[in-house]
Amino acid sequence: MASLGAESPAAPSGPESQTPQAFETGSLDTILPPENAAETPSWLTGISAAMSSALAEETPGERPQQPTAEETSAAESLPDAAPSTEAEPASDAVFSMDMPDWLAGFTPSDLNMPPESAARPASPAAPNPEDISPASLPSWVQALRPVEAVIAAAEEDDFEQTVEKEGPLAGFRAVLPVAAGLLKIQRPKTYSNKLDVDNAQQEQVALLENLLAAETRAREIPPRQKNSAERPLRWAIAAILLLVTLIPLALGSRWTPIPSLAGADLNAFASTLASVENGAPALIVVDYQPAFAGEMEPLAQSALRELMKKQARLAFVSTSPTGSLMAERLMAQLDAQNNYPTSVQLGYLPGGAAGIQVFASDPTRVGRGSSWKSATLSGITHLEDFAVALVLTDAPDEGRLWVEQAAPELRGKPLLMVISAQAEPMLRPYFDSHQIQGLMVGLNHGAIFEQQFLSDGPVRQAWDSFNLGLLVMETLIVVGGLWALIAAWLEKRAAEQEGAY
Amino acid sequence: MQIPTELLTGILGFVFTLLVFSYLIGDNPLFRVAVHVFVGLSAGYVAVVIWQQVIINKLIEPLINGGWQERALLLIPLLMSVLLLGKLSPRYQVWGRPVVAYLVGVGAAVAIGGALMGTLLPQAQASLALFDLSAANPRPLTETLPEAVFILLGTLSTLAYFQFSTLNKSGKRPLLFSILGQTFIAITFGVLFAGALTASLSALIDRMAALVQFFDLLLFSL
Repeated sequence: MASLGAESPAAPSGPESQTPQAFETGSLDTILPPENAAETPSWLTGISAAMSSALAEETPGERPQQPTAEETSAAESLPDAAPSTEAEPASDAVFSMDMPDWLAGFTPSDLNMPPESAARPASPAAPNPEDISPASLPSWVQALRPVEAVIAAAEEDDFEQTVEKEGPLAGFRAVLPVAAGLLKIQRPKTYSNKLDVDNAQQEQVALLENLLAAETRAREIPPRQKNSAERPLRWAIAAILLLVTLIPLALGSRWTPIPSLAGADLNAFASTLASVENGAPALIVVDYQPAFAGEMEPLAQSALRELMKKQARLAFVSTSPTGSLMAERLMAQLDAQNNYPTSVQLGYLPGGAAGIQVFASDPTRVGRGSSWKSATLSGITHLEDFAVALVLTDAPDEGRLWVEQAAPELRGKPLLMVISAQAEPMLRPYFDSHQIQGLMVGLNHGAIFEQQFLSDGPVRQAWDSFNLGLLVMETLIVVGGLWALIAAWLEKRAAEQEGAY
Repeated sequence: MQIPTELLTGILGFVFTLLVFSYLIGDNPLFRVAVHVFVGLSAGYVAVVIWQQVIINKLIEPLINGGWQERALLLIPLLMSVLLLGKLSPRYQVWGRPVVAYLVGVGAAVAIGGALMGTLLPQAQASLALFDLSAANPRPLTETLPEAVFILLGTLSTLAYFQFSTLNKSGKRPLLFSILGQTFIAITFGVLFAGALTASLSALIDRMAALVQFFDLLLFSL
């Protein structure tokens, strides 16, 4: 407050100044000294007298009962001022209100307001101050008072008191309702987000969170120690394998003999294939990827060559988009001049397991209609009309799907498979359960099967490289395993010696 | 001058074989070029095959040349295909959900039915048949019984290894049976690894044979 008074240009700063300071609190008597009473306007003198008399009634011990002569004369000399009986209610209203200190000393003269505005009579519509009685609520009731509801109600009251300013309803009050929700602004209710939990419950929550976090946390794997000899070792192994496979092929060697002992699976395959009648229809499923053509093509050529010797009617189908390409390549290798009359491409069979089931239930829905009108597929309307089904695959899943979906529809007709060595562990159980009637697995079976009909077929040409490569790989695995064992033993021994010292 | 097709394919095969073998010195741009070419060629070929053999042969051509009944039936997959295209847009992907649900449902039904009737039941029946003591069994009991016991032991011990249970009364797990199952699993993985190794060696031999054949052709052509 002192700073505000100091900044005001109208307020003198000297300690001897007798003029009241702005926002100074206290009664007019204490604020206005008696010697300055003559300088005050006449209308203010009357008001101060009335206020002084009111104060005297409230605090009889502090103020004298009778006014001074100067005050009485000043009051009489105020013609425009209201009589003392009319001034009492005004003074009561002033002092009955619980005004703050800074507002109690706030007078119109402090703000240089014109006298006429300060002396303006009250509006007739204004409520009588005596009607407004201050609420005397206990403190705990005031604390429970719904503030939001009060604010909303007050706003609604303001809306209801809206006076129309335009149109034919100008001058009427609260005629049109205010649009609901348009001007009604209400603070959102706040809710506490603190859970009422005790320490034990918090510990249990933390324990549960740790359990869940431990389930999803990946186990940290220590970084692998790089071995400086790793890259040279890789080059050395690659060079050994390349040389071992390249030299026999380049030399055209026939060093290693082909085994003559065939297993039950290959014997069943050969006997079933031999039992196919001349000119019988055969379904050939080409389901291997081009990457495995080096292993699968020699085997497939051996089997198809036997079927072609019997003039079997070959129908090729594939569940792989590249299967059609591999089938055409296979036939081009077997029949370079394209002289074989009875073969047809049914193409790609989409849909995976569902596609196989559709084909097994009704083969005529696959491929072009013209294919089924050809001599190769004449008389075939069901899967069981094929004399044999031969599946060429490198993937165990593809072979399993054909067993599961198509084998029941063959109704006793043989299902044979030519498979890659990597698919054997997963597909051999189907041969043991007699769901597959014959198996040819890898180059090993291919060499045995081929030598029954060809003395120097494609499998035989690669046989030396295959055997030498397998021998070298097995040797490298054994040597690597022994090296790892010895290294681990030496490391453990060194650790024990360090512990002993 | 006309370049023979075999010579051209041989040169390309030789070059791409060297590009792939360059991975021996580590990942390098030459290897990546070869991989990108293979992936691009495969994707392009698959797209052409599907467009011709599925969309043209099985949908568009029957819609144009087929009978009224065939056309009416083909409207269903055509509508489903159009709805499935909605999956391309986040705004319309909800259109493709019923189609995807249909595909997943049909695929699951076919796969589960096939696995149950084509694998589980026949394999269980074949394993039980090894214990058949009747005269209907063509194989002698001395041959089938050890095999049956071996299969039963391997199956049960493998299942015991994958069983996560609480400790028994003595505070220990049945370790011996679990170790036996672990041994069976390790042997199985070893067999699978040997099969993959053999197949990879066959692919390597095929590549080497192609290189030898190419150089033979190159030398003879010169």
